[in-house]
Amino acid sequence: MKFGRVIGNVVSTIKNEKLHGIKLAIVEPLDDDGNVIGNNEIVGDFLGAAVGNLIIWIADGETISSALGRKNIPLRGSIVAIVDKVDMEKKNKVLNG
Amino acid sequence: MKMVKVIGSVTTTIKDKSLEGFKLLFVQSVDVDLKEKKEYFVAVDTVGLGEDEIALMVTGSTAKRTDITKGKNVDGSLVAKVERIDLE
Repeated sequence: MKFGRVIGNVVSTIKNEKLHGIKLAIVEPLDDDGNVIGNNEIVGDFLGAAVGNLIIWIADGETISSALGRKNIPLRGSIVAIVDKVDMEKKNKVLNG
Repeated sequence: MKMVKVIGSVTTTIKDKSLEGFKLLFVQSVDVDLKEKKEYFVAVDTVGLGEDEIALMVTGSTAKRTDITKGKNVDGSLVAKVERIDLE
């Protein structure tokens, strides 16, 4: 899974009907210092992550189907956890959510 | 699979139900000379790893092919601890 932060949300009303009811969060990947190290992505959010939250996301299509109980949803990627903390003892770093 | 170094542990309270009980580790890709590369993942530990240890991470849907990650919303699992690398 990928580690990153929520930086925003996407609002869309004209979209594939299977995407209705899915909150679309904009997430960006972070390194062990909390710096951005890649392009942002749009993923589904079922956990109610807020902008600024550190999160974990999965790059698959099944998580959405199991969360919504319906198949063949044209969306890849979902937030699977809101991170409280990342402890890196040897590097003596901590990233707080 | 990717070779990664365990660099931290991730604590989460609000999460996908299927991730409950998993040890989530923060890992960084490493080269065969163990030089750290700028690529980070969170993976489920299935073999009992500690910080600074080198592991093999399986990604994608194959990450679900372990007893504990079967049918879970996981796409990164640490499935082996690297003890030695032989470069002829």
